[in-house]
Amino acid sequence: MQTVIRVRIAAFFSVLLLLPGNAVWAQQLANRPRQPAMRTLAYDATQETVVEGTVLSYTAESAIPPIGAHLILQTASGAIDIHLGAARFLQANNFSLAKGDSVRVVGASSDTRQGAVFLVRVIQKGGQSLVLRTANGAPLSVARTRALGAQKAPQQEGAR
Amino acid sequence: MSTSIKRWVLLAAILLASLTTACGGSRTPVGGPPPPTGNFSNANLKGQYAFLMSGTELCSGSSSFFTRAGSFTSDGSGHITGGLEDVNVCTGVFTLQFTNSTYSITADGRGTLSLTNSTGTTNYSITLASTTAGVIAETDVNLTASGSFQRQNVAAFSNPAIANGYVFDFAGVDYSPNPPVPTSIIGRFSADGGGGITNGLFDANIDGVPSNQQAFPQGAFYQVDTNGDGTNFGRGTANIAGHNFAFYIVDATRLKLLGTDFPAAFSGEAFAQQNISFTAASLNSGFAFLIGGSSSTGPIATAGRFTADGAGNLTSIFLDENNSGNLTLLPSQGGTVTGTYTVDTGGFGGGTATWTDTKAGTFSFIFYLISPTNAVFQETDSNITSDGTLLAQTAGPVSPASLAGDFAFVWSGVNSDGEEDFVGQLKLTSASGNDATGIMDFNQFSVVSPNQFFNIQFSGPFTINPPGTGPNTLTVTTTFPSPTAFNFTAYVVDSNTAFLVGAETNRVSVIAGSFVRQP
Repeated sequence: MQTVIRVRIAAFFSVLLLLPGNAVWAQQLANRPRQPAMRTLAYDATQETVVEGTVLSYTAESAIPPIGAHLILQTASGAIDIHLGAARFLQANNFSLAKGDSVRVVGASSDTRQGAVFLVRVIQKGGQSLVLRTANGAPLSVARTRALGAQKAPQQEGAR
Repeated sequence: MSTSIKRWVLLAAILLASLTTACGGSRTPVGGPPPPTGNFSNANLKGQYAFLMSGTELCSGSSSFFTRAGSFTSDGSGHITGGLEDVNVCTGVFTLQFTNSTYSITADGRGTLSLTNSTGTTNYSITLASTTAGVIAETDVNLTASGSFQRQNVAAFSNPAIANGYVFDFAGVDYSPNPPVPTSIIGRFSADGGGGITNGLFDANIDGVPSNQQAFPQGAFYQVDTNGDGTNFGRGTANIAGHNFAFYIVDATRLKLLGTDFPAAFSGEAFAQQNISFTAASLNSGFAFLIGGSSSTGPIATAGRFTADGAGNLTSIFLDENNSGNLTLLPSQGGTVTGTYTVDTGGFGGGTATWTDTKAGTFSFIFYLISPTNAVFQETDSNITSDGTLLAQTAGPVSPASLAGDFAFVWSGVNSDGEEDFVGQLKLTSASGNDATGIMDFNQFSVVSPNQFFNIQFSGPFTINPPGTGPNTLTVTTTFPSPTAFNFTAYVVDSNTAFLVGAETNRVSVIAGSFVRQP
């Protein structure tokens, strides 16, 4: 927030959730699932790396987070979980993946409760390259079509 | 979501696949639901209503964000006698007039709406929350969307009616950077009653990068249409926070806006701001919030609550974040949460809220107050573009008896196949056990196998954890064609409203929404 307008009021940081005055919340907490702290880390563009390997498996609709297509990629340092985003975006761009494919991905690793996952910004296979995320890591799967629409006179499919 | 959960967010693909096979496209499942009960009828949808929704369309074989806003007039006996809408779709922005359209309302307030324009007919499922408002989901094969509608006050269809302060929240896709990115813009302005705008302030979050507070660039205005669309439908145009919009007036306190700077696509609402000078003391109660949008891993939805003490401190903080299927709950195991908030000098209602879980880290937000009990809310953590609503909570305690009754609901979500939108009726009783029942229609967008589901019944427990103003749980299971569970954390705002965020642990989905009491 602009500092000239937003003035941070002096903070009082020592209010703990379970002080006696907040005992009313004790049952709420007791009934609450308590998870080890693990917030999914954001895409950190400064930590981008290039990973090459062979596809061990491709899953269009993974049963583990993040939502979307995943690869298990065998690299020189071991197998890693690769997140690609929406499978439909790959399909729309005629980018197919299968066991045994050699691929090169640019992206950043993120920690989740299920373990580390590599978030892909660019994937390359053979002579084909596809950008999957913005520079800040946002998946392109929804927005990209509008960009194509603006450039290519897309087809409406049904009433609007 | 926009790309947001309203954008808006979700379900288990495998279970939906079984639903798809068994009942896609059928309006009445085998062994159909019992006849609806209640006092609603076609007569309860009578007058002129403004609507706004956003969702996903099929465009050149791919999914694409779109939004629509407009006005329709219903005659109380099943006919839409007129109307107008603006749509921002992948082929451009268009203003379209309705002809020969229809609707139907059943006794429980649920119903259907079919709107015909020059491109064809679009279809919707709706649920009335009252005779003046309801929730809506589009149920076409190639388009899914959800939103709300409210009865319009034709006496407010003029520039002078739009005066004094307004707070706004827009979400969608921006193109000022290339490639296109998810964007949220919240802020406030003062309307002078003659089309002029002053004291415009906004915070944009573009691709997870907060702009910090900015003044409106030159060129801000609003103008109710002078070609007849203004007086007939409450339509107008505006430039707000540097973006062009078409808007539809609900009344002097509420506008529905649709961005017209194609290929960018925004939509949202503006609410009349209480005419007071806001300070930290303006926030002095419990609050519940619900926001949605996207992160660098995919769709994200977050609900929670806190208590503000009027002096800059936040306590009793709870949060449930579903980030592309990864759940984060505060307080975390072994952690404690403390927080603070600020309200800007100048009295325009902008402010910040920040809290830190000793194990899970810091969560940061900004807000613009509509009143001391209502605000628009935006997350400002890195790589997250998410916004929504902050509402003052009842002091509680909340009990099953206080919540018993009938509710209209709308949920929106995303699964690995795409967006899904749900609309229906939820019934809560004060009995222990399976005290929640309901019926819904929903639309599952898919490039490959889109499906629409109608009259799907569900039931399950709504468990209130005393005092009830923190996280509660709603677990409902559909009864047809096979059991499919929806697990939510529910934050009760008051006896009439609650926020829901999906908390699935056995499948990857993000879903969120709310329910509102019916009379």
